[in-house]
Formats: sequence, structure tokens, C-alpha cells
Amino acid sequence: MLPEEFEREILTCVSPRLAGLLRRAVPALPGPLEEIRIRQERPLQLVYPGGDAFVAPDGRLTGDPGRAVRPDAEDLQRTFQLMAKGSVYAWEDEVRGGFLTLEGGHRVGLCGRAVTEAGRIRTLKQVASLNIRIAREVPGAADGLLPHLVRGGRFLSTLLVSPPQAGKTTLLRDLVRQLSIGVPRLGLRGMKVALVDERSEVAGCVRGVPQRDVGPRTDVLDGCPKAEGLMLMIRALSPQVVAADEIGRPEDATAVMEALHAGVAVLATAHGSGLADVRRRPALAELLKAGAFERAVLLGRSRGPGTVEAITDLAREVVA
Amino acid sequence: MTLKLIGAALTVLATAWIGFQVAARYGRRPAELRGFQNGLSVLVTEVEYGATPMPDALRSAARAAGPVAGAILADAARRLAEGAGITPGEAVSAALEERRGSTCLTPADEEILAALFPVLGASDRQDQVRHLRLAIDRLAAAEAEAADERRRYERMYRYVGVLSGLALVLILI
Repeated sequence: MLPEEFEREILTCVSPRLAGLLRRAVPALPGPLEEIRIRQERPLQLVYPGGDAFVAPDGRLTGDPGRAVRPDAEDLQRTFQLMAKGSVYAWEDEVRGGFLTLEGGHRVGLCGRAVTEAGRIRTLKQVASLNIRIAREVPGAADGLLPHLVRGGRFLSTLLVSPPQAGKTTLLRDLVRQLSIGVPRLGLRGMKVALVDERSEVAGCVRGVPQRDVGPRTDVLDGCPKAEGLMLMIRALSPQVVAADEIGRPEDATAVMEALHAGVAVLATAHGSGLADVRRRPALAELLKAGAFERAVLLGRSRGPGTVEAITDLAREVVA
Repeated sequence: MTLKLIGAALTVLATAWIGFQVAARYGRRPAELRGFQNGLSVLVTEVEYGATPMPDALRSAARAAGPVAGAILADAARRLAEGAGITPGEAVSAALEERRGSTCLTPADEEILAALFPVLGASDRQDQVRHLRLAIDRLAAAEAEAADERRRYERMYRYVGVLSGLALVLILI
């Protein structure tokens, strides 16, 4: 990410003291920044592909957590408030779900003390851990993969399976973008894509407008629960492809089946380290059994995030 | 003699002016407290039903809050929108600080507002509404007290101003 983007999208949202440290520390990282982990009274940690580092009180990087700077309660509170634009109450649902989305589509995971009501989380207070996950746009991330997902000028319904941090969202975003633009070399014309972006992670919408490039023929339904969103999009926007991140609940499965019956191709992702994992989840197992997806793509980190480990034709033969 | 008369008139005018100024402070305080209550009431609505982000919520609160409280809230909204890493509470605090001399609020009144600063915008809706309502109640109590003081002291200070001027004239003559 460009320095001015980092300044505008990330540093304006962290407490000035931490921003000063990050401004010095981040450019010194050996790789692109993946995560900033701010934990109260614990070392300030930066994560890059293949490693991590701590930030010393003078803004230098150090491998020794004992010498790292430890953000205090004031740093955490101020950072949390700045991320919520001074309006934590306006993000109630997100906070309850444990995350916020910053301008630019960067997602911030929250941890702290949960306030429960009737056994469910009502809100989080005393936020004590923040994990800023830097959204990366990698145009062309799906170049190698796409030919396997197209047959006769038709996009095949695909499930991307991946453990966390293996570039699932980045790949989904690029697939959406390329499908939307069209890929002449594969005989694929630009398609109308409907993206349900429940956690504002794929398109990084701010006030409904995508901040990430998701292609010219893409409509984004931001912040909507996937099942309801998918149904709405199918009915209202006549998409040729619907896309959603992290499906897995029973109602998601119903919505995906609905899409298939309507003749709409589905592009979805699920957490898991293999197809076996996916088959253990009832809703997904049902979808696979019903033949909802024609391709499953397994991602991993064996050669960095976004490594395609396997592409499976769900008629059970391995293509690549 | 003429000079003496002019001097006497000026003395009475001066002390009367001081008396009226003090009296006017008693007159303005209830209105300012009422302005803050109105502003905070709008803030409650914006937070509770609109979940409006703080800068916008403060702006609409400012429109309902009358001249003095309105100017402070509008200034806070502006400071907050400009960013620079400040919280809504700090924005209001800075706006209040800048106008300290020109308001008629007592330290106790400012204390009520100051109690809001650390929580403003920092928690969920229910909690925000609770804090705002509490501040409104306390401002209402302060307003009642201010109205009472106004009744007792407003006229008195006017008289004191004029009469002390007259007394001074008599002594000096």
C-alpha cells in the first residue's frame, strides 16, 4: 500500500502516539504490512508475510517482545474511538460482531470484555485488543486460476476454501473484478455481478460506495446478512453471478440453492483447510452434495498468501 | 458646578452599567443552560434513533441549542470533522474552553458538561442515551437554581449599581 494511503486510511485512525511509532516502524519491515496488532499492556506487533516484528519505544523494529513498546489503556481507547469516528454507538452491530471496517476496506478485529444479555453479546467494552488487517488489492491475483473456472465461455460456480490469512478475500475480490470486466482471452464476456459484502471487506464500501476496484458491472450490497442479501440481489438486480464471502450457515445454503435454481452462478468462500473440513459443516456439506458448486479451489500459504493448492472438479477429479 | 454634575452623572452611569452587567449574567445563565439541554436532547434523538455519527449529530444539536450553546456545539462539530486525533469529548471541551469568558456558566455548570466528555461517543447507544439524559436532568436542576437566583439577584444588582453610584456621588460631593 502506498505511504499516503497508509497515512490517510490507517494512521489517522490510531492514537497519535502509536501513529508516530508506526510511521517509523512500518517502512522498515522486510515485507508488506499484513497486520498491526495493538494489545493493551502488551508489545505492539507488526505482521508481514512469513514473519512478525515488535516495535521498540523509539519506533525501531525489534525481535524481542521484552523491549517493545506497550500501548496503554489510553492508546487503546483513543484508537478505538478514532476508528469509530467518535461514534461507537453508530457501529453497534459491527462491534457486537467483533469488527469495524475502516475507509479503504481494512478490517479491524476487536477483543475486550463482552457485555452479555440473555447469553448473547450485547456489546464490547474496555476494548483491549485491536487487530488491523491491511486490505490488499492485488489486481491479477486470479489470473492463473480463472482459466480453470471457465468452460465454454461460462463461469462455473466456485467455492474458494481457505484457512484464515491465505488471501481468500483478495482472490475473491479479483475474481469479481475480472468477471465483471470480462476476460476476452477465455471467451468470457463481462457479467453483471452482485456482491453481498456483509463485513465490508471485499469492496471496502464507505457509505455504500466501493473503495476497492470490483469492476464496472458489479453491484455491492454492503453490510447485509448474506442469506437475505443474496435473495434480495437475485430478485432485484438480475445478476449473472452472485458473490459472497464466508458462507456456512444453513440460511446461506438455502440462498445459494435459490441462486442456482434461478440460473445464477455462485462464487463463494468458506473457511477450512481442505474439502474434508468443508464437508464436516452441515450447511456446506448439503450444498456440495446437491452439486451446487462445480469447482472447489483450495488456498494455502505454502508459497505465500494466495497460493492455489488445489483445484477440484466437484465431480471428484482433480484438475490441477 | 457643571463639571461636578457631569462627573456625578458619569459615576452613576458607570456603577449602574456594572450593576446591569452583573444582573444580565443572572439573566443569561438560565437561557444558556436551557440551550444546552435542548442541544443534548437533539443529540439523544440523533444517537438513539438515527445512530448519526458524532460530527453530524453535533451539528444538528447546535441548530437547536440557541446562540451560546449552539456556537459551542457547532465549533465542536467543526473541530471533530477536522480530525487530528481528537475525541468528541475533547472537541466540545476545547470549544467550551475557547469561549470560557463569554458564557455565563458557573464552574458547577461546566462540571456537568465535563462529566460527559470522557463518554461522549465512546459506548453503545443505550449507554450514550443514559449519560446524555443524566446530563440533561442535571442541567435542568441547574437551570431551576439559576432561575431562582435570577429572581433574587437580577433586580437587586441593578439597584445596587445605581444606588452605589449615587452613594459614591454623595460621598465625593
